[in-house]
Amino acid sequence: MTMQLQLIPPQYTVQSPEMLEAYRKRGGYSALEQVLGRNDRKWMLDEVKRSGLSGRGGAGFSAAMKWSFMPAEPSGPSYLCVNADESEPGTFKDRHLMERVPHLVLEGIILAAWAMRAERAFILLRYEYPNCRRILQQAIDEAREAGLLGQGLMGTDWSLEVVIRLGAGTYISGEEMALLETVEGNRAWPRQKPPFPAQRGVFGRPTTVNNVETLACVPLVIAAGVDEFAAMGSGKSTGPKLYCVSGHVKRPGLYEAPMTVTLKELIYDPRFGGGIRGDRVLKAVIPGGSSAPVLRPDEIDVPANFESLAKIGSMLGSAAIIVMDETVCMVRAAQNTAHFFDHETCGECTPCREGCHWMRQILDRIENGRGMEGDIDLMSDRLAAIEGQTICPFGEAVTWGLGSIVEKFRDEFQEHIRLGRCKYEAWQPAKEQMA
Amino acid sequence: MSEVSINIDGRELKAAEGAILLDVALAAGIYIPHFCSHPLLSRPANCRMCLVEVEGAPKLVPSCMMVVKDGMVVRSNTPRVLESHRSVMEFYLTNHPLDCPVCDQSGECVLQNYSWAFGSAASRFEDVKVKQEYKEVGPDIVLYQDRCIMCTRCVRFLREITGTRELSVIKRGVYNEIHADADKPVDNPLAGNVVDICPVGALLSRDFLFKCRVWWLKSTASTCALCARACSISVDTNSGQIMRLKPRENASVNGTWICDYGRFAFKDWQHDQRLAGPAVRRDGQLIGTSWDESLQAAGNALRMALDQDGPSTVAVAASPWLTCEEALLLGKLMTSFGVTTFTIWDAPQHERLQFNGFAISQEKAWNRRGVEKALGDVGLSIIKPGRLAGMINEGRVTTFYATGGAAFSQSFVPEDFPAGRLRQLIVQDCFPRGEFTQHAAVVLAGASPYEKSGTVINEDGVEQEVNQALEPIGQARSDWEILRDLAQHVAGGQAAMAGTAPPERPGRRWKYTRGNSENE
Repeated sequence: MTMQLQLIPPQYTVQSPEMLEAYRKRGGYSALEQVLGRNDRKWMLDEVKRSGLSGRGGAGFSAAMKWSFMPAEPSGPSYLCVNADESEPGTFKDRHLMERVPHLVLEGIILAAWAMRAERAFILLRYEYPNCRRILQQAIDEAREAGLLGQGLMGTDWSLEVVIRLGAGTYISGEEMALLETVEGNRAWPRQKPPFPAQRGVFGRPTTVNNVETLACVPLVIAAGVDEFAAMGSGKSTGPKLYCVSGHVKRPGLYEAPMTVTLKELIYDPRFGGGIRGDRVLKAVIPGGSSAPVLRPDEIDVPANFESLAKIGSMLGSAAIIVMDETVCMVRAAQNTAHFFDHETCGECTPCREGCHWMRQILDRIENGRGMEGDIDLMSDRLAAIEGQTICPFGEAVTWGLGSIVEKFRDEFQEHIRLGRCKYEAWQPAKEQMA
Repeated sequence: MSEVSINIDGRELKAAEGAILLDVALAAGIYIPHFCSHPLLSRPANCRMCLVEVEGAPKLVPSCMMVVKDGMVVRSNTPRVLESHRSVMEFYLTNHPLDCPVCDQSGECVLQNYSWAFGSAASRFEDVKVKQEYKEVGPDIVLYQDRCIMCTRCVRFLREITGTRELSVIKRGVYNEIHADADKPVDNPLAGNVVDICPVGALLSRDFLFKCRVWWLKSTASTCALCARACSISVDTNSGQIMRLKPRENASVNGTWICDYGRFAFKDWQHDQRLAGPAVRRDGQLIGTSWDESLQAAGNALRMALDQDGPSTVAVAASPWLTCEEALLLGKLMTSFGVTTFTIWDAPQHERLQFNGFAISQEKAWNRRGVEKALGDVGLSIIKPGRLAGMINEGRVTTFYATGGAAFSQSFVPEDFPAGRLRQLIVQDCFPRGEFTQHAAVVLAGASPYEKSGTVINEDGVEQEVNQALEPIGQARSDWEILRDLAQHVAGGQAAMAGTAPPERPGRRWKYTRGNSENE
């Protein structure tokens, strides 16, 4: 049975998720049967490689390549970690996958684990996703009942356990190396690379960390056909993709589309965002969560995929498209982002810990009319000093996310400093959040 | 293990395979600044101070985690690296308080030194510093949280060396705090080390707090007397007072740690019952007197016993708190009189405490091995204190020359020791030992381990030097001087001095070698 090349059939909701029976009806677990029947790991790696499947977590790294780093002849246990700590502002795709099609995610986990000979998969689930936890656990229980998990699953000599671990409510848990620490039960402080997870991951064993959406694509690659998957899109950007459109659009929400879709379509097309609310003028778009560099309205007529966005100096990231219209004060937007980063920086390494707090204070001052000559240059200088100096990519996220706003909307910052006030309508600042 | 060649700043260096770049550079005299890296702890690379350029790597890499590879080309002083140092220092000083004038660490603070070396004179930070609490995290350890730079050395020490895990990091970002639960303070036998490894003035010793600016301290490299591990220590003094003891690095003895018993042991020798001068018994009372008079009394008593009762009625106790040189002189002097009944006091025993890479010995004296060796070199055989007590009870021994030198709280004379049955008891010690000293005819005031020089041998056979950090209290003299002077007051004693030379000046090493001794 072949599957439709679709991640989330629209009829499934958090109230009525797709459970085992329904999933089997649309071809669920046929990929697993096929793969275990062939019992050829190299074949499977080749198939995934041919499909062009790229990681959906943010970096867009080839999934097959990542799996191939795992030892072919492991001298002990190796693990798969599922990154379900979805915390990037504006991102809610993994949540929908886990709440609506849990078995698609689970089949992807089993397939990936088999491909890399993992004997245990840890799902590091965001603490704030209790529904996901409930539904995923149900799906895991169902799968175990049906002999799809556990000792000698589906008549093989291989066994797999899938375990849900909860993060402790911190953004940094979703960072690859911090995730390993979190799974081990430690404070979510990233480790310096190298060693990479495939060399020394969870509990010192070879580990691969994959995003939920990446794994959900794996059954489609096998069951819907590699060629079909690869034909949907091109280059690194193949297969269906979930876009989280939020902000000042008429129809904010989660949209599934091939990666040939443009940012403009996602914002204006009636099938997607449906245009700016109140038909106002677009001011800025962040295409991949708050870590991605911001785009101006004249830059959005590009396909929303890995290569095209990288070419114009931004990134697809988690495909969280945050739309801001003309009523938005960009200093406030930067301030808001800085508050987020200051709140979420783990504080392990110095430039990021001290830099985020410094940036937040400068932005607070500018927005509140106490900006000073030289603040903008100081910010640019210090943001550049964070990039590349930190243990984990959080530093880059700060530099790119904040730095691009400061750079592309410099006039607005200068105006704030010159006027000594914000000219946009009064806005109630979010409650000061203490770490 | 095979070697690799690497190039740092144009210098070709050989390094063991698997070595860490930072260690290799430091060993070669190329200084790469670092806060969080400690040779005996894991390395999280979180301070970002040790970043260097490695050819082929797009970013700067932390040298504390970089394993050397053959042919690696490293640059530690390019403009890019120096800018990184300056930049990280600027970030540190945004929230670090500039309270050096009232900070104990000032003068030995890594952040302060790096600020001079790598920082800027002016700050561009115009905003508000985060202020955090002063906390007491242990009986002797205070934490000025706002000075903390989050290197997590203390946390790692308590996880990796002691395994007690009292400290952890709580909160997040710039509000990060080092934290100890109220019901689990940092109170383990190695707790004081977290103060030593803290690169800034965040963790401080309550005992040393505000006692002395560190640049007024005179440091003397010496050895800890409190147990047979005999850790290498530095005795920091000011105005003739010990201000604090710190560990010295010594891979074959103590790594970079010392225990808190040793760290605060000097207080035990500062007890107010310390014997400040010699005394002789007159009309049943011990009366303070001059050295001449007391040594003459001791010499006369010895000579009388030797001449009237014979050398076999005289016994000598060596103490495991003596140095090798003192024990050798004691052995030589007494054997020259024909005395051969020797015992060595048993030091108090405690449970041996084993940590990761460090141990506290069960024997609570530094030099039993050395004293045994010195007396053995003289050709003496040693009897147990219990057997000696039996001989005294039987009346075979009537004159007893006992050395001591233990701390006040340490007892080494067996409780039922029949001191009352002796005709003559001569004691050479730092403290009165109750009943035992009450029976003494002459008491000669000895020096504490911090007040003398010499050599000791620890339980593993490692020979280490002891250097005098202080003048002996009052009129007290080191055991070596007492024995030397005693030789002048006993007829025939001078002969024993031949071939031995005193450690004349404090700090001058008198090398102990087998069978004889010589000035270096």
